[in-house]
Amino acid sequence: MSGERQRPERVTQLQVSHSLRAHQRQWYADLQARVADGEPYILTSPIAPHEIFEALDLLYITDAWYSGLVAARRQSAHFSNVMSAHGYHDGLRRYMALGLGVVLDPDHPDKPWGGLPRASAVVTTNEGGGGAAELARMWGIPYLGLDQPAMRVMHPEWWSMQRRQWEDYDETDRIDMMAAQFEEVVRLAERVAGRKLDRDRLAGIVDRVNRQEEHFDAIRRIIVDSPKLPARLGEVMSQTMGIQWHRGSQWALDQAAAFHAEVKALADAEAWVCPNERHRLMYVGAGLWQKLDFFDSFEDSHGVVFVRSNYLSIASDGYLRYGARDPIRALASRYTVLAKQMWIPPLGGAWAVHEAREHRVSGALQLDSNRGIAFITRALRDAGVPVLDLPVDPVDARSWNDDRMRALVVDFIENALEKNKEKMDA
Amino acid sequence: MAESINMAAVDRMAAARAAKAAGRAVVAVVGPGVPIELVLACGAMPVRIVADAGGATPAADDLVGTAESAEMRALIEQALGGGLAFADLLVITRPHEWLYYYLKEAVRLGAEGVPPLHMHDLVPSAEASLRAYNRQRLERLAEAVARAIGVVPTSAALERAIAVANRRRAALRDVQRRRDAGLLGGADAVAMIAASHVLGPETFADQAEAWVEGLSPPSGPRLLLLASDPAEDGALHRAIEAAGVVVVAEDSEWGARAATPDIAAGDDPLDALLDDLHAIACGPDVSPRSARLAWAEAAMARDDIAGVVFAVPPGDRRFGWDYPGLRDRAAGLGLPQLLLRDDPRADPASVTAAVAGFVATLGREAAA
Repeated sequence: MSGERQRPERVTQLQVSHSLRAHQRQWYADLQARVADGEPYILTSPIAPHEIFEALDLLYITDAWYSGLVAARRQSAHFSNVMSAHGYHDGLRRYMALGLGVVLDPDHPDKPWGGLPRASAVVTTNEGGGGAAELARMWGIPYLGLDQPAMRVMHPEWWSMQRRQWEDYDETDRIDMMAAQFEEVVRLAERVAGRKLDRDRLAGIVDRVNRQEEHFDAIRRIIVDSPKLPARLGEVMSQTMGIQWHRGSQWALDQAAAFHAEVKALADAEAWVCPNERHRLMYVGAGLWQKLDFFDSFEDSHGVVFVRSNYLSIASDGYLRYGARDPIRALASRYTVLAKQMWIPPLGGAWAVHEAREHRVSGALQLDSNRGIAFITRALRDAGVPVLDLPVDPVDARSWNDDRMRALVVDFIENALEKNKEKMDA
Repeated sequence: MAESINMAAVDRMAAARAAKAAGRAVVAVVGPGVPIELVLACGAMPVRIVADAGGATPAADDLVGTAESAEMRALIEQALGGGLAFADLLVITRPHEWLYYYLKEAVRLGAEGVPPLHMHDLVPSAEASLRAYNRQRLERLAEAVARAIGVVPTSAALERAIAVANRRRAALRDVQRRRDAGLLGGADAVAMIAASHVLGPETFADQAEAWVEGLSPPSGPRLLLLASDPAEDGALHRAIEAAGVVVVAEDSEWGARAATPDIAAGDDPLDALLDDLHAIACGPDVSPRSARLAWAEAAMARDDIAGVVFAVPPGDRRFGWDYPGLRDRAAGLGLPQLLLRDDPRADPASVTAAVAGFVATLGREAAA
């Protein structure tokens, strides 16, 4: 096992990419210092109400974000191997769990972002939160696992209902279930923070998150409406999630506004990513955080750009909740189904087809690791969108073979996409 | 006397089909968390469905792809092939949530022969914050069963059903008592528990003692099994015990966790059923995590076991997170241990060989 990492060389187009990186560097440095001084922090997961921690001025790190940063530093293979050596078999998903590998390798000379310090509590989901649960056990800290309710009623065009019709869409008893668990999150977070939650402040933060997501919604609309792509997918994904993991903070709202303004300026100036744009592809699946520049690598050779990922689109379609009197309830509604609606049939397929049409894509590339993916593939193909499954883990570099992945995509472009285009042109 | 129990091992659905042919409604269940009392009270027969391992699954492969688990594809194949058409209702529980989504979509796309579906989303957790939701799930299940059968159960019928189910509970406690006393092997115990899920509870209770009396007591080192799947078909136990050992307990409702106390109907039978479900919830899906780890740690502390076998086959996605901690706990107790990664259904001989090698180690340790 080698601790050496290869530094990715990436084309940076957006100024906000620089400001995001600078913020992240400073944020982690501050967090390390504050935790070293005894300030508590929560280790949490994507399917958890971070806004509650924000409202309590409680530091938190999202495990999927940390895993993504480890992968982006090309260190995932090493820390995955560390986990394997400690008995966590290779079939266990690393997507949210690479922080465990970092903690299990305390003497590593180049720990990502200074390493993952001991948290004061873990709040995660029982489904998929195995790595965080293990950290809670090792650190001997409180652990709270959340459960999402199953879905029974499927609204195929769910994205048109969630913003304002969420009490109907997400169903009262399911929202009640999440809200009851979030009250447990409040109790635990208050204990850790040593202060009571100000629910008016929480309401203000939920409102601020809505305004942040509105910027993402507007950016998606610019990408949809522009004749060519104004911002590269890898940067858009990094930016979106870099902001999402701090959502509710003033910094996140300001950064989202700057992101929006910059993409709008690029589109207004017709400063396209690939002036010779020939094919627009969508990306379906968990973020390819270990290899974001892969999305850029077919621009010169084939005029191919990637225009869409789940991340920006779910920020618009899955997070916004208007008209809430009770902020806990609005958050509970979001998490009854967040992330699941991207995969459960027929919801995942219907969304993918809608997004494909909106973004005018000629093909889709997806990771085949999620449940329900077969239905999405079928829906896209039935809608005339060719699909390529990329057989790779989103964060574990051990599954990546650059030559093979390139060959797969080139074959897809030159055969499926070009032939489809010739047929359409004829 | 125990012909039905033997038959259940050969044709799991025979009793349910016979009941249906005789005019009795049948409620099929995939997964844990369904109190049979709610079905019995409507005069219907409950039957647990498990995957038929090893068969081809072309329709399921076409629907969901081959990346899905063999168990999932086998269950889908059964349903799409009309193998569950005898059921008046197919109840799918939380650990099989995606089976519900897949079958629901298959029906929307035109599949025929799938019974009416009901998603029973009882969360296997005793957390107070989930009690109201779980109570609602039981109420909705009771309503769904009553609608499907066309019978609204009376309180008296529910009390009678609880009494019948208690007879089954008593028989299952006897199974574990015999295991603890060294009179019954693990594979035979799993076969009996499996029979209890597909025969009517009265039939099972009537025949269990006679059947178990006809079995030979097992011999060999006594082992605890901690596995990632519930091992409901007995394949894992058979492969392990073929090496000359005895599996004495496992964290599974198809094993040691089937031995549960009787319940009393009381003033609120649904609450009593809910308490029972929370008490018996077991396996890798149970939360809080401390609850499931506590059972395993207590079992490892038993003084009548010679070692522990961890079974974590390649398809595992959950128990693997618990394994390193439990492994360390076993080591701390000085308990010899074996990790099995092979799939006992695909390659039972490898499992048997690995256990045999482990047993030889135990012999050397004992001699030393």
